[in-house]
Amino acid sequence: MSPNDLKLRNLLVEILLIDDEQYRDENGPDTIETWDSLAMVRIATGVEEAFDYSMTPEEMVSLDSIGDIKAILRSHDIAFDQ
Amino acid sequence: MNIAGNFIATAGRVPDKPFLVGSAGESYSYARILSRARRFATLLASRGAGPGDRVILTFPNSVDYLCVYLGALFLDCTLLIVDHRSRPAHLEYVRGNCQVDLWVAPEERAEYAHIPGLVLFPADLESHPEMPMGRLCSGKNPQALIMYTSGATGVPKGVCLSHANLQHTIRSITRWAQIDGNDRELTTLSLSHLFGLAHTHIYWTLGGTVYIEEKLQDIPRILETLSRERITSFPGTPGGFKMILDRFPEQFARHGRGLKYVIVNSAPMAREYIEKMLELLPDTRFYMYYGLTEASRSSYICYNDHRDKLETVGRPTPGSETCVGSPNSPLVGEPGEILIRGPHLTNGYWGMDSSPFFVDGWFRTGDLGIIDTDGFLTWKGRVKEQINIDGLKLTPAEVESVLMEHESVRDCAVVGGPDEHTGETVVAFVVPRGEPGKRMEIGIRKFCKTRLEMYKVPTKIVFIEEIPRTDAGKTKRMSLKERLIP
Repeated sequence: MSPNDLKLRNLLVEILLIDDEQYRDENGPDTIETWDSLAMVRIATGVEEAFDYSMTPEEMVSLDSIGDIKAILRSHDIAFDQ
Repeated sequence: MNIAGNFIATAGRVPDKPFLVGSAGESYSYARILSRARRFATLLASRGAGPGDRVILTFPNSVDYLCVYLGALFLDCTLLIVDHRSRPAHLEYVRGNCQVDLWVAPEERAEYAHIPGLVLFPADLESHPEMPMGRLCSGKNPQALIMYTSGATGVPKGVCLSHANLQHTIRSITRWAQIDGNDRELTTLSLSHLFGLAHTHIYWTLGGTVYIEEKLQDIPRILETLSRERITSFPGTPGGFKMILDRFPEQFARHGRGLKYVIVNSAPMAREYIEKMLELLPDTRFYMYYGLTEASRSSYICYNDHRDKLETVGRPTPGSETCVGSPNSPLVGEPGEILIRGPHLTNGYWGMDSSPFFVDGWFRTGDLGIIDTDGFLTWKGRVKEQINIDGLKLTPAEVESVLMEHESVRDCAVVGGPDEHTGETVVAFVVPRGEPGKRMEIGIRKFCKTRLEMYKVPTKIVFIEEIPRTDAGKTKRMSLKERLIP
């Protein structure tokens, strides 16, 4: 697992209290019960602190999965495993 | 009737029976304590004290303290009991608030030197004459005590308690706990607080014997005393019993098996520890009661008889009434403020308008509770301690009870911490078992997630060595919240 994946996984485990195996691109608010609107805000704040990138409000509301978070960060040259 | 009159009656009935036994084993009969208290009454009267005068006592647990206590009650003074470890500013506040002229202490202390009116407990007490019996307990002052609340969340308030209040409590506890004159109690409770003091009133009324320890220290020695002295009663706080059950369970089971009963008060006790106590001492009756200084012993339960109600603090004690929400339409099965009524209830706070604390003769406790359909009360926390997560409310107690079920949590306290998104967030201070760290933190939070709604799950866990608590066992939440201020 790349360092950025590790960082994002740890962040999501801490905020969403998910198990490591739930860290999969397709998982999101529909499959992770703790992923509510407040968690969304905490994820955005956590991403900013961990990756030094501040999501726009539009990006925040468009997040439907862990894969979406990675996609946004990749578009700003932050690399993740494929 | 003055509660010290109960003592005089008992001293007449069983003068040679031991009333007090100090931690070094020195024994004092009822007759000897009566004599010493009468001598102190003479000394105090010579300093101008008389019926209705307010006198501060600031002593550690000791035989001398109870002689002073009785001596001042013999004069029909109203006593203000201030913890001997209080800061000078608190003593000054109490003194000013109650317009007190005299305060009694066992020794001089430099930091208190500027406070006038000190009466030292004399080393030569025996040289003072005994006050004549006919001058004791004149009945001219119905007020017995003014107990100052800790004031952890505001200005301390002086809770006024009459002799009638205390006499009711004596009768009530004697009845439901089935205490009698053959009982021998070992107390480590601070006698500056009503829990310990009220037990002493009961024992001197019935003719029992009280073994006094200054505090719960040197636990192995204290546990050995239980069996050696054939102690029948061992009251304590949840924190104290938790320490014993965690660290000395075998010794407690061995030395405590002769106990007739244990009584717990001051704070809720985790279910795990209630079960452990019942298992360790199956032949001992285990009582828990709920009350406040303003309404002491309002409900009680014997867990041996109600193993399906371990989360509750029982039903009303004889003569008292409790309800939740409103007296006119009380709530059942829903949380609301606990209201109490009965002859044990304070008539108010010293020197202030107490009407906001009462509604139609019921005392508003400021505690949250739920009464079930069987009438058992469950304490849910303080109304003012509620944590508000963006409009969703919870009490620390409901989170703490879950945390205590986790194997890595030795002790804990929950407070509301600042949160930029929700105003407040749940923060848990945890005394860990084992090596603390991120792994343990996530594990504890995941455990909470399985038992609590998500907004109640702590967003942060701070590992600390000890939860700060008052002598009465109450968590110092303000002190913990201050640690969260950046």
